[in-house]
This record gives sequence, C-alpha cells and structure tokens, in this order.
Amino acid sequence: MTRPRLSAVAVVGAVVGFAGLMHVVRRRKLARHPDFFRAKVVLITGASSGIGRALAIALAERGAYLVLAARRMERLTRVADECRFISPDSEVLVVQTDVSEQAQLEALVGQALDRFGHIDILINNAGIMTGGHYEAYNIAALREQIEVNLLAAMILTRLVLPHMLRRRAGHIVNVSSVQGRYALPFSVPYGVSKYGLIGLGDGLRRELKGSGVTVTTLCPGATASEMVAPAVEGFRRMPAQLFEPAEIAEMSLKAIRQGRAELYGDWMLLPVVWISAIFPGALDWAYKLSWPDEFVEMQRKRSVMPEEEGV
Amino acid sequence: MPQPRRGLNLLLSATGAAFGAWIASRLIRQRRLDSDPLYFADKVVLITGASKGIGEALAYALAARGACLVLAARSEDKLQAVAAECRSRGAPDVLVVPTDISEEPALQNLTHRALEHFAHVDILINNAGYQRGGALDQVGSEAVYQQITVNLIGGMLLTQLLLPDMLARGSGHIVNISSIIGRYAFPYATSYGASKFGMVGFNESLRRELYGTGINVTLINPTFTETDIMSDIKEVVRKSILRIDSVETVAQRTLEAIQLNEVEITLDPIMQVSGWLSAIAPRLSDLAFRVLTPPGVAEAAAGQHE
Ligand SMILES: NC(=O)c1ccc[n+]([C@@H]2O[C@H](COP(=O)([O-])OP(=O)(O)OC[C@H]3O[C@@H](n4cnc5c(N)ncnc54)[C@H](OP(=O)(O)O)[C@@H]3O)[C@@H](O)[C@H]2O)c1
Ligand SMILES: NC(=O)c1ccc[n+]([C@@H]2O[C@H](COP(=O)([O-])OP(=O)(O)OC[C@H]3O[C@@H](n4cnc5c(N)ncnc54)[C@H](OP(=O)(O)O)[C@@H]3O)[C@@H](O)[C@H]2O)c1
Repeated sequence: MTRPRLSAVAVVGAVVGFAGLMHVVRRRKLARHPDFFRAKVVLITGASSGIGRALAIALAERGAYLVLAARRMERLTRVADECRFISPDSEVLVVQTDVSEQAQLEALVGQALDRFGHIDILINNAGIMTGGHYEAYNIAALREQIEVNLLAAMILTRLVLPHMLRRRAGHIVNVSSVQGRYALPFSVPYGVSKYGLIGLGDGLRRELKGSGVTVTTLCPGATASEMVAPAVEGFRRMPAQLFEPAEIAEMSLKAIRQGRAELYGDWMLLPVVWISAIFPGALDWAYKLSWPDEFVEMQRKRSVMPEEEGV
Repeated sequence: MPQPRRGLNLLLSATGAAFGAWIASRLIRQRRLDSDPLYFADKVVLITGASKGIGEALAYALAARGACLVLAARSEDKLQAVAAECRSRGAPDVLVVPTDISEEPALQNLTHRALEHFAHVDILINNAGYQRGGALDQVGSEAVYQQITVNLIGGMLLTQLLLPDMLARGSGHIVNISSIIGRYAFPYATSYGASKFGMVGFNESLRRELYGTGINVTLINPTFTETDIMSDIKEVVRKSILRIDSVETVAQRTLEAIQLNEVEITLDPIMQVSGWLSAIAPRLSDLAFRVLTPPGVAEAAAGQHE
C-alpha cells in the first residue's frame, strides 16, 4: 500500500476507533447505574401531554418520584394516575401551573420541595408553538411564545439551581428543538425561543462545570404530539423521521443518564445543523426537504387567520 | 521514495489554490464595495442604542457616507450630542427619538416619528442592548426578565412595526447586532447568552421567511469590542490571544456587510470557530473557552454591575 493511502486508513481507523471507544464508555456508564432513576425526584413541566407525558410514564416505570406541572388539571391527574398504576410505589405530585406566571413557578418549586425535600432532575419541557407571517404576528402570541418556552425555563432553573448547588447534585434538562439550531420561517418567535434555550444550556453547562449539576439540551425531531398533529401525515412522507413521544422519552432518559450535553432525536438532521452553523446562508432552502409543506403552511396560516376573521 | 513527495506536492498546490481563491475573493469583495461609494447616500437608517458605543460609531460612519439617520436610545442629551456630530460629519438629516426599547408604546412612537419624518426607513439596525453578568442562581428573576425584554423582544417588536412598510415598498434591510455569545454562550452571562442566541434565531428564521421579498437580513456578531459593556473584563481579555476591536472597526465591518448583503459576520475568526464547534461538538467546544480566554474572565464578567 502507498503511504498516503496508509495514512488515510490510519485517520479513518482513528476516527472509527474513537467513536467506538466513546460508544463503549457510554454503554458502561449506562450499565453501571441500571437503577439510575429509582427514587429520584423529577420535576417535569408540560407533563399533561406529548413528550412531557411520555417522560413521566417512562420515569414512573423506572421508579422515579414525580412532580408533574401543566395548566390542564384533568389531563395532568390522568397522567398521574397512569404513573401510579404503572408503578404503585412511586410517588406523584401534581401541581397545576401556568409556567408563564412567575408566582406559580415559585409555588411549584415550593410544593415540590415541601413534599420531597429536594429536586434531582428538572425537565423544562412545557412549550407552545405559535406561527404566522412575522409582520402579521399577534403581539400577545409573540410575547407568550417567549414567556412560556424560554423565560419560564430560565426562571424555573434559576429557582431550582440554588437547591441543587447546595447538594452539589442535580440535572437540568431543557427541551429545545432542531428548530433551535435551524430556524424555520413563519414561526419566528418559536425559533427565537428554542435558540434561546440552547444558549441557556450552553452557558449554564460552562458555568456549572465542576459544581455537580449537569445540563442536557434535548432537540427532538418531529414528534407526533398535539403540537404537530395537523401535519403528522405530512411528516410521515418525509425522509426525516417522525417519532412517537415514547421514543423521544426513551432517548432522552438515556441522554440524561449519560450526562450528554446535547441530544438530537433525528441524526439525519445533524448535517443540516452543522452546515448551517458554519455557512449560515447555505441551507436556507433545506427545510423544504425535511419539513413537509403541510407543516410550513399550517404555521404560515396561523396568525393570519384570526386577523382575517377580525379577532 | 517518490510517494511522499507526491503527497507533499499535492498538499502544497491545494494550499496555494486555496490561498489564491481567498485573495481573489477579497479583491472581488473590494471591487464590489468600491463600485458603489454612494451606497448609503440619502438612505434612511434607524439605529437603536445610538447614544454610545457601537451604535454611536455606526451613526458617525453612516453620517460620513451621507445617510439620513434616526437615532434612538434612552439618554436624550447624549443622543443630541451624537446627532450634532453626525450633522457636522455630513448627515443630511438626523432625527432624535428618545426611546426605551423595553416599552411597546415607545417603539410605536419611534416608528411613527421615523415614518412621519422620512416617509420610510431603508435600514433598521437593532443594536441596543446591555449585559448583566452573574451566576444564574444569584441574579434576580427580574434581571433575567429585563435582559430578554431589552436585548431580544425590543428588537423583535421594532422589526415587526417597520416590516409592513418595507414589504409594501419591496425593499429594506434589517440588521441585527447580536454577539459571538449568540453562537458560543459564556458562563456567568446566561441570560445575556439566551437573549443573543434568541437574536441569532430571530435573524435566521426572519431571513428564511423574507426570502424573495426584497428585504435583506444581516447578522453581525461583534466579539470583544472597546465599549462600556466590557469595561470590567477588558484587562483580563487583553492578556489573551483574543482581539479587542475598536467601535470604528465594528462599524466599518457592519457597513461592508450591509452593502454586500452578507448573511452573517463574526469579527474575531478564532471565536467564530469556537461558535462552529459549539454547534457540532458541544463538549469539545467547552474546552475552547478554557483554552482561549484567560483565567478570571468569567469571574470578572460575573462581577459586573454588582
Ligand atoms: N412535537 C414536536 O415535533 C417537537 C419537536 C421538538 C421540540 N418539541 C418541544 O417539546 C416540548 C413538548 O411538546 P409536545 O410536542 O409534547 O407538545 P404538546 O403535546 O402540545 O405538549 C406541550 C405541553 O406543554 C404544556 N404547556 C403549554 N403551555 C403551558 C403553560 N403556559 N404552562 C404550563 N404548561 C404549559 C402543555 O400543558 P397544558 O396545555 O395542560 O398547560 C403540554 O403538557 C415543547 O417544548 C416543544 O417545543 C416538540
Ligand atoms: N461591546 C462588546 O464587546 C459587544 C460584543 C458583542 C455584542 N455587543 C452588542 O452590541 C450592542 C451595542 O453594545 P455596545 O457595546 O455599544 O454597548 P454600550 O456602549 O453600552 O451601548 C449600548 C446602547 O444601547 C442603549 N440601550 C440600552 N438599553 C436600552 C433601552 N432599554 N432602550 C433603548 N436603548 C437602550 C444604550 O443607550 P441608553 O443607555 O442611552 O438607553 C446605548 O446606546 C449590544 O447589543 C451589545 O450586546 C457588544
């Protein structure tokens, strides 16, 4: 073999070897703590449906103690009942919370601490998705989008963090999105909120290095929840994957156990994320390949419609 | 042994070609800039945060190129002084509108006054912003809220107010001054980081949405710039390999980016690479902060305004 070819083989070998080593290390980390979540106190916002509900159920299966928060109380109690049914000895606290209200966030943390004494894992999952032409965007929707998705996570983290730091243990999980790295048109404020969450996670991870508190940012791909319900069929047609909330929950728990910095549900979108980070303008059309027209249209029409109806 | 020499030749010629291409692209860029020296003449440019720092320098650079200016910030006396300087440097018309961009009515007033006076706005520069450092567990909730309201929501709302008019005319340029921290978040500045990441997202999604409407969108990521914002960390940064830009440099590069309709520029290439890493290999990128910034920079930033 010639020398350039040899060195190419060596480079490829080194990369594959490194990836393999990382894989083995991760597997061993997972194997070492089969009961990682048992009796851990996990606070989940937006637990009444979709990914939040799936996380609650997956955690109940592993014997975690749960604090579930969302606005719709009947839904929330139903999820709590499911959790108790799955795991009769796991404790579940339900707290009706509108995360856009700071006082309610304080009450939520207060109740969780009263009941369990501490919080091991905080999952900032509550989210809404608004849409529309930016120039016609409803200003209240714009503000709510930032308040619910971004500010609530920042404030809640800020409230929980001192307790975690005191115990030198804890895990903060933010549910961002692939749209937090590759923003789509016709939902500008949603993209803003999800980019913000990535920034929050990045800064916090660097800030909390060595403090015992870990930070994970989750970027699920398209997930069949209420949020994207009208466009689900469209997603099934696309080359990118459509996940069930339970699949995302499994992946997320694994990432939390491994203490990963970031998790992308859909690895097929990673090249899009990477290329557009380096060449920001290069893939401005790529969204048409990974997100169905139905979805973009659904978003586009959103804030236009109320205006046409004169609301 | 002919093999290694062939490899070396290949490497050398590839490097040569890349260097040649780079030189050529710089020349073309300069030609494009020179071909339209009057690009900014009589354009109406609205700058927020024009009372000092980068905003002030932008105002002077634009004034020297004959642009009409709308200057907004909270300090009216400072704005008036900047306006006088702009007029003496060649701005045909300067309008001062004292504005607190965290207040919606103030933004409406700013839009109204600008459109009333100039009939349209060609270029909007969302520049106003401040940084409040501190560990997240120690800053108050109110401070977190305020950081997002001023740095992020202010520019979003102002853009929304000016957009209909730009769309009706089928032309306009929205320029967002974010920060490298919007691509690579620093510790002890998490709410500032979230606000700047948000601004990057704003820029990205707006650009994709406005494609084909005639409205351009440009993102500027200054790195360390000689202004009040970094007064506390300046001494520490000076000891690192990172550069500190003058406001004039940032203004100059911003105007070039606008004229060439560049999508995004980052001032310090070293930090820019850290930003790429942050998106591709987050854990590895954490090292960049430790290697590039001198010890104590985060702590100095944390001490800010305390
Ligand atoms: N589905 C996707 O394709 C996808 C992809 C990437 C990221 N995500 C993110 O994943 C997270 C979960 O979304 P999902 O897909 O599971 O959607 P979902 O089924 O609509 O769930 C959203 C959850 O957030 C809660 N919520 C909304 N506003 C709230 C408020 N003001 N206060 C408290 N809770 C609130 C909702 O509960 P109540 O209405 O009962 O309050 C609900 O439990 C979101 O952050 C979303 O952005 C989703
Ligand atoms: N300096 C750096 O190293 C650096 C690096 C990256 C990015 N940046 C960004 O560049 C932009 C300009 O910063 P700078 O360095 O020039 O800082 P600066 O010298 O402190 O100037 C900030 C400007 O924003 C205005 N401002 C602040 N709060 C405002 C409010 N609520 N309403 C209206 N105006 C407000 C200030 O005017 P009033 O006080 O009169 O209102 C001032 O004109 C900021 O967005 C900053 O984040 C700076």
